[in-house]
Amino acid sequence: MHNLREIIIEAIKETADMRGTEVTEKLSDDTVLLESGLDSLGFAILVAKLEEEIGYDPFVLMNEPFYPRTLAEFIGIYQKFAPK
Amino acid sequence: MKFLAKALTTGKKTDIVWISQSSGIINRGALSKALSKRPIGEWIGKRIALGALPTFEFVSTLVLLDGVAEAILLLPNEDDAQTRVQRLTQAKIDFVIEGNGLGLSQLLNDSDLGNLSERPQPIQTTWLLPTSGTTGTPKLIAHTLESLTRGMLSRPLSETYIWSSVYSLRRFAGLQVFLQAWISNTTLVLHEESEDLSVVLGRLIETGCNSLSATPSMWRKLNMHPLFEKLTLKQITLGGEIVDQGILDVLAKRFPTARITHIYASTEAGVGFVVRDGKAGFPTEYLTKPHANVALRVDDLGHLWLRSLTNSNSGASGERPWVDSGDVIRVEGERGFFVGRANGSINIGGNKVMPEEVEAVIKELPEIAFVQVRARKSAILGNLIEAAITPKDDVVFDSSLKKKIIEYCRSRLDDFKVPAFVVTTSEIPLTPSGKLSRTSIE
Repeated sequence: MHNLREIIIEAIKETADMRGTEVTEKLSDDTVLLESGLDSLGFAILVAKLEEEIGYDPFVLMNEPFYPRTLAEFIGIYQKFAPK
Repeated sequence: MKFLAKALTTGKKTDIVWISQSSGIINRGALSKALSKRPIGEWIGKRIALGALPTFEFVSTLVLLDGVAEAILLLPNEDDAQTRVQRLTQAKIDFVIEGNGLGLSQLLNDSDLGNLSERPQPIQTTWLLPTSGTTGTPKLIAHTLESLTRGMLSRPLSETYIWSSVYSLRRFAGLQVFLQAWISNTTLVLHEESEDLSVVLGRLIETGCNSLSATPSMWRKLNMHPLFEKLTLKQITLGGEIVDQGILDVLAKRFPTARITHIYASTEAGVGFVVRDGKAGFPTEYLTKPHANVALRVDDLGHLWLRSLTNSNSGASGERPWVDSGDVIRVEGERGFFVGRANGSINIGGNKVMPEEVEAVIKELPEIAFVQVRARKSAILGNLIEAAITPKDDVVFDSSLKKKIIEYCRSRLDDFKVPAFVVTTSEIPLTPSGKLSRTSIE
């Protein structure tokens, strides 16, 4: 799932760029999403952007709402809900 | 009592000319003869709905039934089966006229003379108009011929005018153009509903139409058509949507000698006011000094309220009530500007955005021919803003244009109003009344 991680990091950068904010120097698994340069609007845009790119929105698919805190959790959700 | 057919017996019989696809050139005398041959006994005092009809049948049926029927309901062609049933039930309709209608166009060629004076004593017909349906649940608004023609010029206008509109005749704006032409004996060019734009423009050029009404969205669409160059207009009227400076400038440049008028009106409140100074918005003095017999005020939420100052025909004393237009106004210095529809806003995680406000900013960019701002569902915030644009002919839609649009919006708008997505569309979705479709994508 290396590819998915790259896609997500690229989308975070694009979203921040579009929103006129800077992304934290280096994104790691422990990076807290809302401290990475994205606010809640940026986060919503990121999710919509990813849906366009990879074809699904895990936040629509999940039965119980779960909001990831770190980058690792965020990527984990996309892995969990990836179409089999 | 006013009723439409009255003009057939009292007006000059040759004055009005309709030019329509199916029926060619029709003058008032010919119409008068045709209508007089149609027995009307079965329609007296009935509640009648007009469904999909050829345009000539539609208007001549209106003339025939006004003053005869108790109520006339104008059914929108785009209603689905369920809405249609709802409307028919709500309006207690006895008959629906549709298909080929009453066959009035065939009577035009009949040489026998009928007698129009055989009509019964006219009654006050209620006209039931559906609201434009840009947003929300469909409603019916009751009018009379009196209320529909309030404030209109009744004197004959210069014979050099040939009018037309690209509005649906079933909607307030289109009906207004027809009624104004009817009571002022002006030549009117009619089109069939949902005709191709090339056909409509071809007819306007061929007939020498010089006075045209349309929504700003329609004008933008017309402006993108190759045949637009061939129109020769001396009167341009815009209405039905917010008029922005961009489209006024484009029209003024293309038709430097034309008079450009924008009209603010709503089905709910009847006619509002007109602006002729070539600028978007309206002078704030309209808010303090009644203009065209309409008083205006703005409430704390920015809603524009209207009150008609003309006396009602029924002789009822007292003032007419204030009506909330549902349109939101922003006052800047000496000018009031329309921001958008109060109930048409998009909710972005609790922040409300009026699509019209974002559209107005994007339209300022020279690369943009057309823009529609709409909601895109988001599991996180409910909705996000998406701008669908059509670039001008010589402009390429690429990532740098997207970026430019977003950056420009960011410099002008609150953060949450900036489109999250910019997409391109060649299909410009307009409603049957010529307005930008406000149906959000799922």
